[in-house]
Amino acid sequence: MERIKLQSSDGEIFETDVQAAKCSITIKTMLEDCGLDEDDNAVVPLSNVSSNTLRNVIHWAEHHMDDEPSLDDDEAESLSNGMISSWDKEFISKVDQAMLFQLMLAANYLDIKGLLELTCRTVAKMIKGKTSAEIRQVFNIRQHPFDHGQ
Amino acid sequence: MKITDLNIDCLLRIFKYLSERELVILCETSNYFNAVIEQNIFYAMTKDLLLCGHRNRPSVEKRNRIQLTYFRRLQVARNWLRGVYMERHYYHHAQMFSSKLWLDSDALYITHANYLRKYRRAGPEALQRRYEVEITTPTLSDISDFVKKQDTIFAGRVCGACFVSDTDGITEQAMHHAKEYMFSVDFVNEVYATSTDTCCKLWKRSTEFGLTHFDLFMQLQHSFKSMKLSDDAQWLYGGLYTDTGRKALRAINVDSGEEQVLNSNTISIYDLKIKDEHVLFTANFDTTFRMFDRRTDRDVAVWEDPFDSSIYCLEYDGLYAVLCGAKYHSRVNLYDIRVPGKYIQLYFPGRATARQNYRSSPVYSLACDSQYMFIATDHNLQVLDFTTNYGVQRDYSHFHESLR
Repeated sequence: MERIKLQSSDGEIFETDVQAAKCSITIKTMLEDCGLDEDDNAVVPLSNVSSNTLRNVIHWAEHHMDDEPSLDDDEAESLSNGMISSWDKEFISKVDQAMLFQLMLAANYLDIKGLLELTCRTVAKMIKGKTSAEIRQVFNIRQHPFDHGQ
Repeated sequence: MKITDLNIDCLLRIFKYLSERELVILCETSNYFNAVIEQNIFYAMTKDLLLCGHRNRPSVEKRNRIQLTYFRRLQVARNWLRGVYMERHYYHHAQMFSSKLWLDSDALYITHANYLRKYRRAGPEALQRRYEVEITTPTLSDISDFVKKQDTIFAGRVCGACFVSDTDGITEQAMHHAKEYMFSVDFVNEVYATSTDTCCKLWKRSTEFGLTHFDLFMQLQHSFKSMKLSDDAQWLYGGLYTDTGRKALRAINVDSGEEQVLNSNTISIYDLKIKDEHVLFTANFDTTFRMFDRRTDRDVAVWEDPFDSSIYCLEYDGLYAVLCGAKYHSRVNLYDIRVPGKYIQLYFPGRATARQNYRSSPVYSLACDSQYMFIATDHNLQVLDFTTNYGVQRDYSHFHESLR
């Protein structure tokens, strides 16, 4: 199986499956456009993703690499329809809040639809059904003097 | 890394999964969320609302006292639709009079008998109870119509005398014979128009040695009950008080005097509003509110009053909402010009409080901004305040279906 090397922002190099890396549309286009496919020793630099985050992203991608690829937004939403698979649930329960947001940004940057949806859904769940005070507490938002309305 | 460090793209993806209620709660947690949700979600939701929409800055915006937040627009527009409002009565007068209204962002102008008063819109209420200035001349004749544009007010008295008031002062001139009855006045730039029950006159205003006078340049043998000059002063659109040929809507070229008989099948027009260069709204004797398009030369939509009363006056928000004042019961109908054939809501002010004989007053004049509606009845001014969520709900939107 083909392997690919990814370099995080702090210089650490990860090796993974090309198939898994191609979960990311950003990497996929990069590979295709630059013709890096043939070159086995190529290192893809990901200057926006830290090594901790990238480790998690790769972990997720390796599990999901055989999924149906790239549905468009609406389809993906209607198909999954609020269901989060048990593997995803466990995966996301293991990361802390900061990592959750890192993952979301990474998924956004790397254009990984499944991971982005998973993280967004998770955050939305944390917001749902709470009062504003509870939300502030959960996300550690400092209270601003806030005039609602006008 | 905190939730507030996320970029807008990510935030909006999260917000997709939240209900409106949850978004509102989220708005309260931080200014940043509030800004993102306002500018990205509520902004788009409120673009085309009736009376509160903001697409292309509609004319109703110029009458708003304050700029409303997008969420506020959403709330207030719902109150309009559901008929939730507080009702207040102002300026009660025992003597019946058909007042005319003109609404600005900072003041309401209202006529009563021979004077015109300016009431400030300030303080907690929709209007102040005491007037700020009285704009009038010593002539003791009722004011039947007036128009205000920028700082200039042009008012016509029943007896044919008209006065113009601006920053330089006030000038009155007899423009029609005292035996005629003044119906309507309008002006754009230097072109002034007056219409009585016998004729319609067009005037050029000129100023010499600091004195204003009007020179007659066109006289038409028409009696327009209502008329409006187009913004470029090229056309005068008029609605005849009676036309036995049932073509009461006319367009007159101000330069050439050429007259077009517009193909709107109405015998009498009570009020007329210009929507844009092609489209006119008319309030008609035959119980209809019509939308006329000059390009196709026909009424593109006709709404009949559900209670078969004539429509006396119109108000337009600049986008899609038209309010029609009916002849009886101080009733106002709300129409969405995108929805043919049916009304959106009915408002019956003053039914609970007014005396028996006050109840069937016509709506003589109507003005609104996004939050308030001002209704001139024969004994007072009724103000419907749609800003509060605790107002009484009077929903008549399905009233007519329920009768069948």
